[in-house]
Amino acid sequence: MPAHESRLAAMHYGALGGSTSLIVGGRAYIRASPRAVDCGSVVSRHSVVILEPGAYVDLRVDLEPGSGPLDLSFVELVLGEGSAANVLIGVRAAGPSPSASGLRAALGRGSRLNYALLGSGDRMHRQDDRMVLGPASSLRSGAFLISRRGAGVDRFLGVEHSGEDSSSSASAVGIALDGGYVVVRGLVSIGEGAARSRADFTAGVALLGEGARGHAAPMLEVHTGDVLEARHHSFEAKPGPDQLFYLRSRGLSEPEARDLIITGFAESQLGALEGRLAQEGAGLLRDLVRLIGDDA
Amino acid sequence: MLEVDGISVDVIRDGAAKRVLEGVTLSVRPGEVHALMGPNGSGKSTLLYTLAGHPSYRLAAGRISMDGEDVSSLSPEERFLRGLLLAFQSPVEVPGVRLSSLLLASYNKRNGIASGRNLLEVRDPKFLSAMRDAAAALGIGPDLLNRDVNVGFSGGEKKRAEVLQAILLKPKYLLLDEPDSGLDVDGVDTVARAVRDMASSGVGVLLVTHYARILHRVVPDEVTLLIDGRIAGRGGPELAERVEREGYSSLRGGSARAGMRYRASWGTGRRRSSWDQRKSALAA
Amino acid sequence: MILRGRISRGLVEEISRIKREPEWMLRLRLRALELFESLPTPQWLRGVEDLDLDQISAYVSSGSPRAESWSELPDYMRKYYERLGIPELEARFLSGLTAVLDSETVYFRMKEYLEKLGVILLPMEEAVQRYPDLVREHFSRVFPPSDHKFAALHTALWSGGAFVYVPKGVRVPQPIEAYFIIGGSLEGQFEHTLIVADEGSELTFIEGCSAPMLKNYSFHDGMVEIHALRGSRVKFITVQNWSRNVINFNNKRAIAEEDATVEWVEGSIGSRVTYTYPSTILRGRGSRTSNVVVGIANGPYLKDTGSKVIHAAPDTRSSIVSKNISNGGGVNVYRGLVRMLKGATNSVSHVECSSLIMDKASKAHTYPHVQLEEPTASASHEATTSRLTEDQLFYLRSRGLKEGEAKSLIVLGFLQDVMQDLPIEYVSVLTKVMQVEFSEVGGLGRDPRRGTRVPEDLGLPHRQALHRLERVRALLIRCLPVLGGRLLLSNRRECPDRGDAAGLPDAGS
Repeated sequence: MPAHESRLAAMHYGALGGSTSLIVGGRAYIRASPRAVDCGSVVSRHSVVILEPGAYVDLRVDLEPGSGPLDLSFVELVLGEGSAANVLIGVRAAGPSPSASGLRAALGRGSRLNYALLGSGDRMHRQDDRMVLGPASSLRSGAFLISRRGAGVDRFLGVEHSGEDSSSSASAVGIALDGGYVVVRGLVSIGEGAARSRADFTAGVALLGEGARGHAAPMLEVHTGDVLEARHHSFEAKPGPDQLFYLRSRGLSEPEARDLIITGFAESQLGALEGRLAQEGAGLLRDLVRLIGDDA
Repeated sequence: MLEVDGISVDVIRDGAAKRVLEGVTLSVRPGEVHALMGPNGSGKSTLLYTLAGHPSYRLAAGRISMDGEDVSSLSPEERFLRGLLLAFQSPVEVPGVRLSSLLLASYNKRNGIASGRNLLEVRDPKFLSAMRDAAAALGIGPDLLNRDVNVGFSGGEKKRAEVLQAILLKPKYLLLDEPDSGLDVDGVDTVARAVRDMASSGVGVLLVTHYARILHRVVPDEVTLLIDGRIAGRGGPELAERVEREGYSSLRGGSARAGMRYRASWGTGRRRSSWDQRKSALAA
Repeated sequence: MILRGRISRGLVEEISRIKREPEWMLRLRLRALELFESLPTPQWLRGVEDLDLDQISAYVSSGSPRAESWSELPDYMRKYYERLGIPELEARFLSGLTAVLDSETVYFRMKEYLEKLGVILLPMEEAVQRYPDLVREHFSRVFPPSDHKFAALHTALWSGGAFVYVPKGVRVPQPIEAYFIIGGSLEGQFEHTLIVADEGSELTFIEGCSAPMLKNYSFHDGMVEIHALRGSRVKFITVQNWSRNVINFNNKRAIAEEDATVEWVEGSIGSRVTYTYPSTILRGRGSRTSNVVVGIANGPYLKDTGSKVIHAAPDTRSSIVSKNISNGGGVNVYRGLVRMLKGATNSVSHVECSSLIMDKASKAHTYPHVQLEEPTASASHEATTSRLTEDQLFYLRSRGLKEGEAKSLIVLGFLQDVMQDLPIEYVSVLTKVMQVEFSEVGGLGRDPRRGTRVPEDLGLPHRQALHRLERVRALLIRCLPVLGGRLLLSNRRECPDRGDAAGLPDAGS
């Protein structure tokens, strides 16, 4: 994540209040809850995790930005050749001020990244995730976001295929509750050297409340004709009247039917994770879905 | 008993109401198989949707009652809870919800053991084995159970998933919308067997069918004919046989319209007695 | 992007004076000029490094000079016509070299037919003078000059274009191909076409031509405004194959009132860079729009196309289909916006975007946006980018096709469902053009290694259209006014297999 990448990045490095770096060989389970270090107007935290070739890590990051007028947290992940990482990031943006966070990952040859993002925002939160895929690497990514009470949750996922035979399969579902605004954006870019790569991006948005708004933009740039398949699509992550009737005729009330469908979509976002983090993710998800029930 | 008493039904589309059923009366007793036949567009599916409480259909007259209770203004889920289940002809896809999840949720609701937040908790330990057994009996594998409801299911898989729900959720009254359409011979046999079993265990079955084919395997106790939204005939299995022989247009009361004509796949000359024979053979 | 020079107020006044326009039109032009000067220059225009306004001024004030001789045509264009099988005389015409010949008969007949129906079809300037109230009610109301800089430039300098008014309840059964009625008026750099379809009316309007056309200006900034009143149905078809010096900027927008339907069909083959985003505002309840855009970038060219639909009323429907082909280093960009405003209850939108990349050097980018403000509305979008695989090529070659032939076959297959929206003659011509475009190794603009023979037997569904060169020639002539007294009239819709005289050129003329 170079400092010149964006104003946000520059601000982040400029105000860096705390950082950690880890080098992982073998297998590891890391759980991080970056603590706030109050350094004035901007609070930022940066973590770097580097995986040696062949290493395997389960990384869980819990972010609860809340203090300071602007709260920034970024995680940089470098996957050495043949390494694999399961990453679960949970974000609960509550409190008075806006915040931003993001995962930056560079996937070395033959490495694998399974990433699930679960987030809710009561105010402005920007999630800016970017990945660069080296040769033969693969990315599976899911995200489930809820925006409520006049807040805006904006999630951007940039996937750059720079190596041959790389593949990515990413999806994101955003739910806007009363007065919430959710943005689900993705830019998958297949570079000229990424021959025979494959990319898939799905963006889903559902409006479940008064004054809710949503924006989905699954974008795709293909710079070479030598791509196996690149597709993207956007859809409504909510039940249509036919589905509602079907579920009701099976005994579910309307709220129950809606919850069932939303939970289903949320669970499918976790499908990327393996092992222990998949279970932890399911737990986090249950809490998150409860939020919808509370508000609706 | 499921009683439909002189109902007239309007379908609401784009804000306008159109009459689709007029003065329909029929009843289904527990353990009885009641076949409803008619040409395409006669209103058979409409009737089932109305009984299930679909919001697009409005009762303009008459009433529907189950076991003495007037259910005409109850919501679909309330009717389900009282024991009514509609098995759709072409059930809708519900992406995001696994078939096993739906079964669990409906099972919990039917047995009143969970709702709301807890809908997907396995409260009754018998559920899992019941689901597996029923699935196996219908030739439904575990992978289909894990797929999103009806998404990418073949016609036969969709039908079997509906029947699976009927078996697992133990309704009192089962409405079957063309359960054999799109199925091969084995498929029809499987469905027929399941329906016979349910009927003999006391479920009242209203079976809508265009062709008489399935009625060779599930012999009806009563047959009602619906044409152009009205009852056009009542009888026993012999009525089904007549439809099979002569088609619907002859039963329209002499109208010159060329309606749907169904020709039996075997020769004419079937006697009424064949039905009795079949019934007793199946009952044995 | 850098703008050099300027457009003077005096130039605009002069234009208005020459056209003898009413006061309100001059005021509109001047206001547009002010807007042009104050609006920011868009930064997203690729392929346009600078724009010479002085040159534009000069061009606009001198009229529209055309190439005066056959030899002035670029080499590749001459070869193109040879390949299409058109003798020099007709090709000259097609390329815009010659003024309208002998078009009186045709023009007259078509005019009579439309007059009987009560349809008004006039060059835009004439309409301003003869029907000022009608024009004023709609002109620049669908696409105001304040929308962006080039819309403002257009409105200040507009010249030429067609005005169409279809009265209440009138259905025009044949597509209106204004080109051969209005001729030169539609060739302009800043032409403005305005279509008003009154309640319950129906029409189809076609502009352009699949065969390549030479344009002497390098920046085209045209506008099409459509106002589809209640219950009406308008289909607007554009086929564009302009010479490679042109930067083609289009402003196309429609407003659909209650229960109205607007259909855009656009095939963009030529030009160096094309920007076109046919847009519809669904303002009335139950209105619908469909948008089919085909962008072909065959060679180092850019097609930046897309669609914008704003659902502003309940029960509205939109469908967007975008098909892009990039070959030989071409770049195709799709930009789409679907907006469901609050109150657009039960509205549905579907976007389908397919890109076919034919070789390693070519690119395709898609930037779709869906903005939802109405919970009961639903919008979905699907996009696929696929490439021509070695396996596909090998298979076709093992059936006797050369690489270029295989490519053109695949291209035609890709375009199948889009071609069905075009009248049949256009399909035949377009098919032929696609073949010439893609079966030449290396595309046009470069010397083909093979001779001038067009591949004969390609086993295509339109094989008959191919083999009968005479018919193709006749169909190509469809794009033009009359040549030497031949009749080209409206009964085109009948089966083109009829070998009778209707539309076939006289032998030996």
